[in-house]
Amino acid sequence: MQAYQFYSKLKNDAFSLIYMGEFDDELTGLLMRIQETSTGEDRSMKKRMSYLIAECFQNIIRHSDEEKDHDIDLTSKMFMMRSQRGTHYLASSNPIEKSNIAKLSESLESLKNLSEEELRKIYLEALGNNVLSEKGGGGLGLIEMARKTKNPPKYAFESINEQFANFFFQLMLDTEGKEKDHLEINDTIELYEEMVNSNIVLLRKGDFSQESILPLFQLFESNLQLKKEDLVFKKKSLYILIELLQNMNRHAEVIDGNKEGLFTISFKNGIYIMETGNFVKKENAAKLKEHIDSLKGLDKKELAKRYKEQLLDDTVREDHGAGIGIIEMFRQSDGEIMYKFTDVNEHYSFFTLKATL
Amino acid sequence: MSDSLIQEGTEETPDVQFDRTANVFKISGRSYPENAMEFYAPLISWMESYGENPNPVTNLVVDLEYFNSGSVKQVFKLLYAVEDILETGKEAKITWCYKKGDELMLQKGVEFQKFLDIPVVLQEG
Repeated sequence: MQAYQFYSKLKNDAFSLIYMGEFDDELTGLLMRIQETSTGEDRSMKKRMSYLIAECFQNIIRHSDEEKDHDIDLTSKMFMMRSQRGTHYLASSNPIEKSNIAKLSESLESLKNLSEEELRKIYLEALGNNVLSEKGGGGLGLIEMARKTKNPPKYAFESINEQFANFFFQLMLDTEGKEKDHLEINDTIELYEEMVNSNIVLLRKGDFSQESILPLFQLFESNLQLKKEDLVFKKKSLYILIELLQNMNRHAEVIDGNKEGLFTISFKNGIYIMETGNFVKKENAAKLKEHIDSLKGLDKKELAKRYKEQLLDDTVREDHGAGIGIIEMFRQSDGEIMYKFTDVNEHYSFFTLKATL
Repeated sequence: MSDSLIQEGTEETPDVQFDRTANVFKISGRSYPENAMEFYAPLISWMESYGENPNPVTNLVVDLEYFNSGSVKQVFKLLYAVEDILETGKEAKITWCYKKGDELMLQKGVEFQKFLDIPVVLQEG
């Protein structure tokens, strides 16, 4: 189980969203919505972020070089959004041909030392010139991103093989003007590698209120390879996803005004693993533990019986779950449900729930 | 009681069409609201008061695509309210729709068939 490990790693993030996989325009809209429903920024900031997300995405879609013979690994492209101490970061990673590195570096370097006024001039020139690169971007996107963030983008290239390198690109929007403790491009590369090693295709940290989890259902439904799966699997996995996230929504303790938690989906060899992690009060942990343990090792028939009991039981407050959600998770996941409590301090435990599909 | 209860669906709640005059009773779409009890309470109480003086034949159609466990429990209560109509001597049944291949929705229908005395017709579509 990895939820706590990633939670600790991202503990300073008020919000994080990392997506690994295939990129298309539909996804752009979804991730914008996740951003809009999740961060507590004012409208102009959200608009600016949305704009940059779109640009960042266009960049990934437009400039990824694909290996023709065999597909580059599914997880090789990344989009990342993080907010830390009032500063927002957008980062992307995609494979490019090494022969394109020199040209790309040159355009990026040329933007680094320009003032706002100079950037504006270059932008207008690029617009007027109508000189577009074969990929249709013409550097306008890069110039615009530099203008909107008021910070030069950070970037790096990491070799994949003889022909390809991963292009890491990172933007910073500084809302509070604090100059220290900023995330560097190396932090992003490191995180990317951990994501790849853990086979994570989606990670989301922050607030898990109903409003912010709804777009995640849509994201899961329309992306993450699920389109290719059969209907039975699709339905079951979405059902379990809904239960997991709403379970977290119901039981997570509110920390600093947020229902703080972390959620990951991993995908490897056709198996999906979903994990949620959130804080629970220690006195509630024992009850939760007892409930889950009582379901372990039950066969389908016994689980169905427990389900029926809960369904017919009118004394429990069903709006608070009453454990029926966890019974359903056990019933519908043919894999397994695992859990873990990690001691955090004298009041709270970190509760990880893991479903394998 | 008003003669009808019509609500348009949202991303997280189903379409509701309870119409005594047209003799149409249907919920359809997605159902995973944060608080299922709150959403279903007015539906259940509408059905209970309708059941005191129901039409000669009542057919509640349930056609859900996605749902959460909390909603299933509330839907069950709604079906109970329809079952009570039988006590008035009038006819009532449930039509439970599921898409071809949707095992989960079929399973829920089969379960309700077992748990309830009212006829539950499983309809693939």
